[in-house]
Amino acid sequence: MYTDKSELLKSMTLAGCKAIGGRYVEDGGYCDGKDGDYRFDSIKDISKPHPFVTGKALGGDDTAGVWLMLNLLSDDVPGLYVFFRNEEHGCHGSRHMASHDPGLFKGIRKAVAFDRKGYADVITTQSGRRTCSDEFASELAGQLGDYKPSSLGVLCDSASLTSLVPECTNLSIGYANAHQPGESLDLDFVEDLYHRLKKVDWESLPVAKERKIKKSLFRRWE
Amino acid sequence: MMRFNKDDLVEMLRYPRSHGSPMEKEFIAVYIDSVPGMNVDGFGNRYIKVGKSDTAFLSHIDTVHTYAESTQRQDVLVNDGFAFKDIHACELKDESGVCLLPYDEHIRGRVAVLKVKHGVESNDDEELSAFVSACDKMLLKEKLDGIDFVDW
Repeated sequence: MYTDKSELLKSMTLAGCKAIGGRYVEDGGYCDGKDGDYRFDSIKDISKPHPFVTGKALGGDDTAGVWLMLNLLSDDVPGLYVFFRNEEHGCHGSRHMASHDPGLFKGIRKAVAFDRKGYADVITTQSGRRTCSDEFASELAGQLGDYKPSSLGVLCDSASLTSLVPECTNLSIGYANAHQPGESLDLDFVEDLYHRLKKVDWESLPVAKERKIKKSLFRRWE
Repeated sequence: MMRFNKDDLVEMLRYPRSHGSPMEKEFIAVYIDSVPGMNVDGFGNRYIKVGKSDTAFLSHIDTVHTYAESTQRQDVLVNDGFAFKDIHACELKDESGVCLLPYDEHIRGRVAVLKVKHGVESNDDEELSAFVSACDKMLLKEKLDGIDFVDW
C-alpha cells in the first residue's frame, strides 16, 4: 500500500507506460507512446472533481444506510429508527433533534449509525472525541464478524447524541470514495451486512462507557 | 411492510438528494413516509419506534449532490456487484490526461485503475474512440500488477 501520493502517481505512470508499450519520460512525467504522448500530469488532480468525469458522487453515503434500516424495519427488529435530514452540511438534523427532542432518546443507551465507508469499522472516536467504549465496539464487531473497533471516525449523526446516549458508533456499510467522482457501493456487501445485522443481539451489547462515567463520579464523591 | 432487495437499492441510488431538493422530497415520499406509523419532527427528521429496545439505528436521507443535480434521477451502473454513478459519459476536453477510478473487479483486487485519454485532434467521435481504445488497454488487470488501490 502506498502512503505517499507522489510515489503512487509515479508508479502508476510507469505502469501506464508499460501497459501501452511506451517510454517513460522522467522530466515531465509523461509517457512517450507509439501513438503519441500520454500525459500523466493531470492525475495530480484526481482527488478533486475531474474534468473527464461529468457526474459527481453516487450517493451510497447514505443510501445504503437507509436501505439497511428499511429492511431491519421490515423484519420488526426492535429499536428507535431515525432518518435524519441535512447531515452532509454538518449534522443539522441530528443536532436539532438532540436539542429539541431529547426525550425521544429516553431509555436509549446505544446509537448505531450506518454511515461509515469501507467494510470493517466500528467507530469509537469521532473528530478526536470518544463516542463509544472499546468494550461495546469489540462486542459489536465480534457479533458482526470481520469488523474491528476503529478510532478514525470523522463525524456522523451519532456524534450529535453523545450527551444523551452512552454508546454512539458508526458502522462501515461498503461504500468507497464518498463525496467525489468514482464513489462506489458494494451491493453484495450491503446485503450480507443486512443479514449479519439481523443476527446481532442488540440487548446484550455492553454499555461500558456509562459504567465508567458512573464509577468516575462515584470516586469523586468519595 | 415490504422488504427491499438489491435492485431496490440500485433504484434508491438513482435519487440524488441534496437537502430540500425535489428528488429528496420524492425519495422521502416513496421510501420513508410510506412506512406505516412514521413520525416527523420539527426539522423534518423521520423516526419510528419498534417494540422495546435500548438501541437507536441512524442514517441520513440527504446526499452530497448539488441542488441542480437533485432535480432528476441519475443513471447508476452496476458492475460485478458494485454500483457507480454512470461515469462512462466522459466529458472529453482537448487535453490529454489520466484519471484514476476505482472500478469493477479492481476494487476487489485492491488494484488502482488508470484510465487514459489520448489527446487526438479530431472530431468528438474519433476522440472518444481513441479514448475508449486507450481505456481498454489500460483496464487489463494483468498489466497493472503491482499497483495498490489507495483510498484517499
